Amino acid sequence: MRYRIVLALAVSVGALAAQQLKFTAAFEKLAEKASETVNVSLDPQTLGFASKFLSDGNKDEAQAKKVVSKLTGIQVRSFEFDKEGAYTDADVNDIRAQVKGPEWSLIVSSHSKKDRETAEIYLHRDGGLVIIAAEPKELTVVNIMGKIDPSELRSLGGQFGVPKNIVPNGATPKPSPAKAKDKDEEEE
Amino acid sequence: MRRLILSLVLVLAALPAGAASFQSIVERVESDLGVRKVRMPGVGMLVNSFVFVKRPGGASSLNLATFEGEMTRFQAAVQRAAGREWKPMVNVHSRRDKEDVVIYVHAVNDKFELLIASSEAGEATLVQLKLEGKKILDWLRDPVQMNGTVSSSIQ
Repeated sequence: MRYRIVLALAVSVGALAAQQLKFTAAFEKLAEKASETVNVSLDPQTLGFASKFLSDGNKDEAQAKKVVSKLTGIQVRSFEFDKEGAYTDADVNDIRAQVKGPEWSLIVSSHSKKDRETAEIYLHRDGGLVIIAAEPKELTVVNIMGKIDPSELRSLGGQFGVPKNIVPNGATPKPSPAKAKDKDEEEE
Repeated sequence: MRRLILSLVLVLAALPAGAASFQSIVERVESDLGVRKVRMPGVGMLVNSFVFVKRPGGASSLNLATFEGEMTRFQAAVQRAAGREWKPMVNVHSRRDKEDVVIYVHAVNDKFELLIASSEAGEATLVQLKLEGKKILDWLRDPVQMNGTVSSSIQ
């Protein structure tokens, strides 16, 4: 019994660590070129405590509370540059390399030629997310750990350091396969 | 007997340490950097009367300490002085305004305390805010804007 508990704990801790991005020193060095850098880091304790104050009576807050209750951490790195070309694709590849494994899948890839904006959303098989949003003078990386369904992502926009329009216009992240399956079963 | 002492030591070590108080953080920063906070007689009372009426950033009380001098090591000194119980939540580095702001959070019962360390060339400020629980949501929604509200209110 004890062996099973230890094994279950080890597996869950391992799964969370697997969802957590490591911001390398090379990536963090972008701060030297940026005119403004914002880092947000919220641990499970702060998230859990804050979510207690989200009201069940308010529709938006109730939705956010439901989402936050399943999260174990949020990390945001946001860089704003004075000039275009201050960062390159190679700088972002540090992050992309970490979401290349079979446990990650790219669920949204959006590119706006008009605004020269790109957004990529990667989903971990255990429910974590990584969002890379790039504009000519701005780069934002959001890492949400825990269990979040991509279709619920919009409810976190503008909260907990997550940029407001984190899901690009026109892009609709689909529910995770597990949730879609549950829904199908409910309908049957 | 040895077992009892050992158990006591282990229990005490496992107990969560209390968060460092504002006063002790200020003293540690002073000693670490070899500076003294700027004396502003009467300002504390004035600020708290203002906070009582206006509640900037949802604060129910506010402590303030200002430092002058070489401040390149200020943020590191605050982090050391605050210890692990104060968790860095937001870190803003502005090359444009030559300013660094770190917001630490600490939860106590149904209240939150924020410690805001701001530094720029030759000057630094340490602010502690006590917030009623629900007000933390505004800080989590937009910490940068909330900090701007408090800073402009104090100035």
